[in-house]
This record gives sequence, structure tokens and C-alpha cells, in this order.
Amino acid sequence: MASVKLKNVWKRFGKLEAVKNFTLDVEDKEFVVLVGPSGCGKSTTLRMIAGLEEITEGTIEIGGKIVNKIPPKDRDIAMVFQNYALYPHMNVFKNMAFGLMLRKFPRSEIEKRVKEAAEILGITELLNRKPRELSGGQRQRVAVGRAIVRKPAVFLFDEPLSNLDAKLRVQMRGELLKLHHQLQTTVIYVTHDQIEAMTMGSKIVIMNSGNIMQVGNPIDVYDYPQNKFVAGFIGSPPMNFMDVELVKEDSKLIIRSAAFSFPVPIELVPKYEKYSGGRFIMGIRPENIYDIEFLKEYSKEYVMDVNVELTEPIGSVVYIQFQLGNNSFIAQVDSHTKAKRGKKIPLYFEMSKVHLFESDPPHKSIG
Amino acid sequence: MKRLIFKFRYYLFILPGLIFLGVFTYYPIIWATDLSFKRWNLLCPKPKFVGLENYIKLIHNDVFWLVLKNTAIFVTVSIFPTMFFAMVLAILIDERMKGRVYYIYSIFYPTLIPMAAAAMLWVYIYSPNLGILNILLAKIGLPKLGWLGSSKTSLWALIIMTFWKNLGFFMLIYLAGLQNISKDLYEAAYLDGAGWWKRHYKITFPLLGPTTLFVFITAIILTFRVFDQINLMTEGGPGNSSNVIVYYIFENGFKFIDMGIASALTTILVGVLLILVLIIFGIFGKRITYEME
Repeated sequence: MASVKLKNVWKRFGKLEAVKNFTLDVEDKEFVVLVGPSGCGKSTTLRMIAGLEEITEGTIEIGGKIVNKIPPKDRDIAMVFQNYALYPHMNVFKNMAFGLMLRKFPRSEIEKRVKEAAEILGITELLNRKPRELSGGQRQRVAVGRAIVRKPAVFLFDEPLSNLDAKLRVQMRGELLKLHHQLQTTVIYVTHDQIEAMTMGSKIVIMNSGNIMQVGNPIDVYDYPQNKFVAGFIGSPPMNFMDVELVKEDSKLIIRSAAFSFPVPIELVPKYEKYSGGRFIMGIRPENIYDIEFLKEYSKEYVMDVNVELTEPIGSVVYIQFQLGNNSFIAQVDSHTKAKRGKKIPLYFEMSKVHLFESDPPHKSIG
Repeated sequence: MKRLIFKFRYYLFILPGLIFLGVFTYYPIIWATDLSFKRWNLLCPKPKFVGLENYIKLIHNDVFWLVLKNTAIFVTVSIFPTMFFAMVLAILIDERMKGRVYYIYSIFYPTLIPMAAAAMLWVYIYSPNLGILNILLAKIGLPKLGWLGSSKTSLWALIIMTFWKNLGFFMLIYLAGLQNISKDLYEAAYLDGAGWWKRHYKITFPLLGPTTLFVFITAIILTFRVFDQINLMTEGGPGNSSNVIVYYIFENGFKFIDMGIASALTTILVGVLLILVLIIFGIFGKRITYEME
């Protein structure tokens, strides 16, 4: 078992900086998810930990040992690839045993380990099949099995679920989590899917264009995004944004935009008072905008009529799309809403839940 | 009629190809097989059925056996080194990014130039007094060789030249085959602890199976049918030492004007090739793993 420490790690491909000054501590047995849009450097980071990419600058430690110069096979890691990378000409048993055979494990030990892993994953009856005879989910299990038999200190997953259909993905998500509890191993998991990140990670690392945008547990990251990127990336549908200014009118602090003018809720005044006169980007999540019909009590000053452009019922809730100024907004309201396309509807904005970000990049949160 | 056409409408799409194949491949094969049972030469200008006479004549002809031996040597000796080096070069080139195109072009170049030009080039290279090979041999203190002019070396000289000419073509096919092997597999094997040799021995080699089968069969057919360079460089000589089956057919048909013998030889060639290909497919066809999807 091992911790993984990355210290000021850089990766450059010629002039392109794929990973910039990446520092992260992964504790023993932790499940860490690297998440971000494509091209953010998450896979490159994982590949550097695996030893498939050279580290341009900085150090990577696995189990207290700097591994920069250590070849992958001696790093005590195992990796699961996005397309599984199963050897098509070998049957499932051989696929799982390949690494052990190369390491000259005795035959009996190889058989024992493969059978154990196959049992854990429920693929015992598939051991004689070739990869092409397996379904996507089965291939996925074999790929995981190949990693398990090695009994590595660290598991690396590179978007392992993105080739599966939606239903299977949810199922495998749960299975991988169970497996993590069972094996008690450090896991570093890369995905572009923020729901996967939220549901699986005990710690998530949000990356964008080679930089770490925020590290934290999923709920903290959701509730307290440190910048506009994280706020917009985590959460589905994404947070709504609007250019606003904070002004004082008749000794009241007001958030004013092209479309509305709301007083800052009393409890937030101390926090925002010192920013009076400044321009910011306001963010509010879709679930913090309500159809007033379903509210027992609310303050009228935060209600605004909007033109419904589109309603998207997804069963449990309805997403209402509307335009505020030049920005497209989404509200997540009760599934029994009477909102109709092209009609006006009054919505309540829960202003105590808004986030304010600096108007200049990197759009840091101000509180 | 309309209903008939509708029923067989899919066959209409392959009809043009079928006509070409029929006129230029199937009909000549049948015609040649028919002619092989007939006497048709200068002395007998009208084809006349003689049964197995042509085949019996060939069996008692020493040149025929020499030609068969030469062909067998030519095919086996040129195929395996060509396949081996084509695969190794393809793997080496596939692994490097820098100068990749340069390597591919320089090895593929001989395949691009016309055989006539290549033959002239090699006639100069093999030239006993002015040729670069003998000059080099003299430089390192070895005796000069007759190359094309000696019955001991003429066949081997042609084999070397054919190797040079075909290598690039097969290398290109191997390169294409390598593109079909996912790079992930090598990374997975690398993480599994496989070194360079193991990665290629355990992954590249088995997964190139379909490519190798294709190259093997193509190479057999190509080398069995070798003709141009023989006609241009040695005319089968000296003393039939570099005579091979297709050139022998040409000689019998168009130099000695004995169509019966030429047809019997053609029939033998087609039969041998057919049997070889069937055997190869029978042995390897099913064992080869095709990459998924």
C-alpha cells in the first residue's frame, strides 16, 4: 500500500505545456479522481505516474520513493485503459496472467491469483474466452482483473467507463467502488465525467489547461467552488452566470445586472460590503431558482417574471430555459410546474446561495 | 424477364468484374488446360488431341526438372528473407517518428521504378569488370565472381535483385498491418513488464498474423511468376541455370513455338499454385487471430 506525491510536476511537449506545476498528495487507500475537460492534462498526469510519459520537471513519489527514473514495471502500479487494451489473441486467463508470467511467478501462484481475481469480478466462467467474445462490461472486468492480479500498491484508471453504455456505466461505477473498499488500495482515477468524479472520489482534483483549479472532497467543491471554472464544471445542468455590479443605494447593498436588481440578503452583507462598487460575475445553480407556486413562503423582492424558452421534463424535475440579459439561464423546478414555452412565469431566486466571482481571469470566488 | 432481373439484381453489380475475370482469367485457364492435351507446334499447325503426351515429354525432359528446381530455390530463398526483413524494417520504422518518411521512401523506391530500369541498373552492378560488386570484392581481397555470367551464381544474383525490388512493397504492407495494432496494447504490455523483444514477440508477431498470411501468399504468387528480370538480365542462362517456370513457358510457347508443351507447363503452374495456397490457408487461415472490431 502506498501514498503518491506529486511535487511541482511539469510536462511539456515541445512548446505545449500539458501539465503545469502540478502538486498533489494522494494518501494511502485514498480514491482520488482527476477530472476536467479534454486536453486539461489529466491523462498526461496519470501517464506520468504510470511511467508512460517522462516527467519534464518535478518529482513523483510512490510509497515514499521517487520514481522519476524507475521503469513502469517496477513502480508497483497497475493501470486500466479506456479501451481496456486486452490482448486480442490471448484468452481471458492469459490476459490476466501475462504480467505475472513475465515476472516469472510460479504457475500455481499465477493460477491462484487469476482465479481469485476472476471470482471477485464474477468472470470465472469466461476464463477461456477471447476478448472478442466478450461484451463491453465483461471486457471492462477483465481489464480490472488484469490489474488486480498484480496486487499493486496503486491502481490507475484512465477513463475506464467511457466506452460503456449509460446503464452499465452506473453499475460499474458502484462495482469499482465496492472493489476499492474490498482491496483497500490507493486509486487514482481519471475521467471527464463530473458525475463519475462526484460519486466516486473521496477527493477530487479539477483540472483545466494543465492547471489544478481546485482540490477537495466532492461536496466542498460543489458548495464552495474556488473559481468560476470549477463552479461551471461541477454540477449538471451547470451553474448560471451573469455580469453584475455591487452598488449601494439608500444604504442598501444591491446586486444589479442588465436584467434585475436584487438586494443582497442581510446575512451576506458583511461579507460583500467591502466590494461595493465593484463588477463581478454572479453564479447561481439551477436548483436555487424556484417556481413560486411550490414555495410556501418567499420574499417578493427576489421574484422575477421570465419568458420561458424551453421546458425539459426529465421526470423527477423540469428544467426551464430562459434568457436574462444576454445570458441563457436554466432553472430546475418541480415536475408539476405549469411553465409553458412562450409564456411568462414568476421565478424566485434564492440569492443567499449565489456565488460571486472576480470579473477578471482566473475569476476567483470572493467569499 | 423483368422478374428474373429483379431476383438476380445484386449479381448485376459484379457483372462487369465477372466479365473481365471470365475473359482474361477463367477462359484462358480452361483453354490452356484443353491445349495441354493437344499437340500444337510448327510441325503440327492444327491442334490435335494427344492425351498426356505433353506431360510425359516434360517428365522425361531434364531441363523441365532443372527449371522446377530453380523455381523452388527462387521461391523459397527469396520469400523468407524478404518477409523477415520487411517485417523487421516495418517494426523499426513504425517505432520512430523522426525521418520516418525518408526511410519508407528509400526502401520503397525500388518497387516504384520500372522493372526494365531496375534490371539495367543491376546488370551494371553485376558487370564482371566495371560492376560495383566485383570492385568491392576486389577491394576486400576476395576473388571476383561471374554473377549473371556464371551458371553457379546467375540464379542467386537474380534472387538478390528480386529481394531488393520486393522488400519495400512487403514492408509497406507490414507498416499498414502495424497501424491496426492499438498502441494501448504496447503500453499495457510495457506496464506488465514486457521488454522490447517480448512486446514484439508476444504482441506484434501474433497480431500481424493476417498481414503475414497475406504477404506470404502474395509473395509466393509473385515469385512463382517471376519473368521480367529473367528475360531482361539472363534469358534463363547461362545453360538454363537461371531458367524458371514462367520463363520456360515463354520459351516453349514463343521461341520454340510449341503451344502444347507451354500449355502443359501453364497447367502445372496453376495447379501447383492452387494446391499451395489451399494448403497454406488450411494450415494458417483458422489459427490466425484477427483484431477485434
